[in-house]
Amino acid sequence: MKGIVFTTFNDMVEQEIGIETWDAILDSVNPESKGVYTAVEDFPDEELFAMISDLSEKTGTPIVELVTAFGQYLFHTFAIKHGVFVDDKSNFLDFLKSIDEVIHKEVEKLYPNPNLPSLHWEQHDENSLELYYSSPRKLCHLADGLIKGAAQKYKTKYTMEHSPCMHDGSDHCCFSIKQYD
Amino acid sequence: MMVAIIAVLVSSNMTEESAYKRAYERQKVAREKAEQLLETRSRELYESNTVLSKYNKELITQKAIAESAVKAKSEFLATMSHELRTPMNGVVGMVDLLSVTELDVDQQKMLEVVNASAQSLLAIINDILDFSKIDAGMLNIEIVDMGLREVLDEAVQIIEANALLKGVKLLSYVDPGIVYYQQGDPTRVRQILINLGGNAIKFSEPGKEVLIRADKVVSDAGYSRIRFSVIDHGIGISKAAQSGLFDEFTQADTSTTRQFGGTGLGLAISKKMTQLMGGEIGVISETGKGSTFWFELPLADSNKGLEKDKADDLSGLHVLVASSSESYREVCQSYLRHENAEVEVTMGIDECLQFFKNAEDTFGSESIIVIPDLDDYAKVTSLRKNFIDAGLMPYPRFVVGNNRQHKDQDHILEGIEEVTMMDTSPMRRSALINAVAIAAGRASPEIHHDDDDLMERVQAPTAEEALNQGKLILLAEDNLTNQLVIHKQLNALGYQCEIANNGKEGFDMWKAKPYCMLLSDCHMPIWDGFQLTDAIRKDEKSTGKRAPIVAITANALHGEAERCLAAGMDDYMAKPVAMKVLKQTLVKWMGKGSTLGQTEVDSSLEVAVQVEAPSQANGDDDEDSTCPIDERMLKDMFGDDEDTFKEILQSFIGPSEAIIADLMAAHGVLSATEIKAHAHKLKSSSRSIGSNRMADICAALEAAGGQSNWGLIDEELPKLEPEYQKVKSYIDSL
Repeated sequence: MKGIVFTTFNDMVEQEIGIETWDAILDSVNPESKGVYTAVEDFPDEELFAMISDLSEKTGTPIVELVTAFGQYLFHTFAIKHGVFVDDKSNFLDFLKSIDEVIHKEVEKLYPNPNLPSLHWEQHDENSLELYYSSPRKLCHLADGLIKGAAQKYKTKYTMEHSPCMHDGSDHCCFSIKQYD
Repeated sequence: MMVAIIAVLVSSNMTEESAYKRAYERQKVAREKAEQLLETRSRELYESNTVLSKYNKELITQKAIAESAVKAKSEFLATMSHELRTPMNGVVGMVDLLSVTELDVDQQKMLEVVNASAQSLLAIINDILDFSKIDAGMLNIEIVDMGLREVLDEAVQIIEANALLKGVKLLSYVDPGIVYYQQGDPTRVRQILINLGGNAIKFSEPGKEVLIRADKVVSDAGYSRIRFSVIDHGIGISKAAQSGLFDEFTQADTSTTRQFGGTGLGLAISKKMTQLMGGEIGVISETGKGSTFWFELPLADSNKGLEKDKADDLSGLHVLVASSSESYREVCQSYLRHENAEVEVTMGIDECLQFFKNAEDTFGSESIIVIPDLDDYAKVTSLRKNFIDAGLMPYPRFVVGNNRQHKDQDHILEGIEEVTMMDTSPMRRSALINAVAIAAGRASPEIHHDDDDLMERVQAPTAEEALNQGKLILLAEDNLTNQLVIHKQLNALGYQCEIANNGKEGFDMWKAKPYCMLLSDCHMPIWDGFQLTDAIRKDEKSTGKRAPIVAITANALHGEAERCLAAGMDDYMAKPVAMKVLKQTLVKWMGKGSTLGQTEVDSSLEVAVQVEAPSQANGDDDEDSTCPIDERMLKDMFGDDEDTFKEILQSFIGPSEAIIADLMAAHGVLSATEIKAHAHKLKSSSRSIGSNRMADICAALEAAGGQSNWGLIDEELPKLEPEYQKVKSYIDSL
């Protein structure tokens, strides 16, 4: 997984909870990388998963909730670091549609073999969008959080159904998004 | 007090902690900046890679285009080489044959012009092909054992005719110190020598000499640097003109192009070939005094030594070389000294008597006078008389250069025992040494025979006779004209052949009869020459025999010869095949032709006169002539033998009927392409038997087929069958 996910997770824990908790997580998880993360390297998925479940234990927050919250946080980090992709799109749904075609393409330019999730969309009317997500990592809840973050950024209200879900045995997840004013 | 200290410590601890925090924040920002920088660089790298790979793709595409252009160019060259040489084969071959028929003086002169034109056209074609080959990087230099004596001899042999014609004396000299074969490309060295030698003759006045020599200039550890020089005493070249002389399309003076002819490619080709062989080329010249064109090549010595004739040793002999020419004196002296003779020189025949009177004691016995370039043989008889008067006979003996320009004087010296004639057109080492050895009684005159008179007409055996003698040749060749030319050439040389029209047919015939050798075209339908050779070679594995197979190829490109040899053929001849080459090749692989009736006048020549076609008197110039065959044209091409004449015409019938049937079938299925192809075939065979009206119809059909012009096809095609019937009934009536 890309290092930026790890450094953002680090930032989130430090900012939202405190540097001591981050330290404590590293002590209990004891990752192979020793917690020395940079945005430009790759790190094993397991380290992130272990840290999230440790954080869940320490805070008593369910993992799904944590992951979704992290997704939201992650979006804001992206929006700050790579604002151009957000600025390029004028609305929420257009932005969602550009993820696979524009953002993932740019990521691929920078990092060979970035193991990106597959993300396709179908649009039946101008206010709704179906996003199909699939990845061996099954991080659909992270995606959920990212979508939330995006909606905040575009100041858009929306409802979303998440069905089917890979966690229920499907080979993909479907997010049915409806935006309203 | 204590409390104060603790407070300070706590406050300093606090300061330290916040300092660490700030430091941590700074580090983090630094890391993020570094990360961003890295990402920016990565993106730039990606973009420049994208650009590069786009250029790379373009380059690959351009390279492929360039490569296919080169390939197309080489294929074009191969085709051109073939296409240009095939018709030249017909021209040169027929001129060769025609020249030995009975011709009146005017006809002979006309034929000489035709021959000279054909030869110069061929030379130009060769020049252009060579130049294009070099240009396309397709000229390969081979490295084989190369005997310099042979190379010079062959070069001289080729330009000798021109020298004779022009009255220029031609000498060749190979440094006798060169005792080994060299490793190099004899074909290319010879070609350059022919080129330079040809020029030298062209720019020399009658009576002048041209000397072609090869000298070893440096010899070091298995390598020799050989300098080849062609020296003339012609018009010379000004310093200004010398500079651009080796550039393509350049001659010393543009007006020379008109005066002396040539493409202006010869020296450029020579220069490029020399460079390909790692050598240098140059000229030393002065206007009015002549030129020395030279090239030097670094050549590895082969471990093969030159054959040394025992009779070559001339030790103990006293030889006086008498010539007013420095070249002749030098060449003779060098060759003779190398064979251990005691050699002295005088400036001419007139000084000989005085020389002997002065040197009587040392030069009296066993002495030989070599007079290589004598114009007036009567001087020998008077010198001999003077020697007799002076009491110096029976010695010395005379070796006199027998220049073919003075054949009319031969009778003067005939029967004089002390005189040995030596062939000096051109002057060769072997002829000199041999003549001196004969004069000294050390060699027998019988050992040298003149094999040059290749054009002696001999009677060819019938196929049956040839078969019984084990001398029947199989000729595999699909082109009718070439079949006839080679067949006639073989007959003229006393050989007989049977003809297969393609490789497959050739193999079937080969299996059916014990042919002694195969002459095969390379490109034929069904099976080509290579497949035929392969089949024969495979078949021979069971019998253990190996018959000679010689390729006749119109494709003069270098690779073709190698391909022939690689395919299991033994030798190859390039079209057009000159009679001389054909004879040499045949003698090499199967010995001399039939000697039957060698003394008879060739009966076919007489027949030729009788084959005045019956309708000739009706005036075949008349356009309305009912005769479907242009007999005069036919006779010009093949008409010196009635049987051949009939045979050729009859051989036209079967294939033509088949082609006409094909044409009709093609018309039935509306295939213009096939109509074009069949019409083309029939056109050329019709033309070659003199059926011009059929050929014209076919030409029209071919053109119409090419344009899918069905209106014209429908107009022309119905004319074909009736015209063919006229031709057929004419042939049947013969």
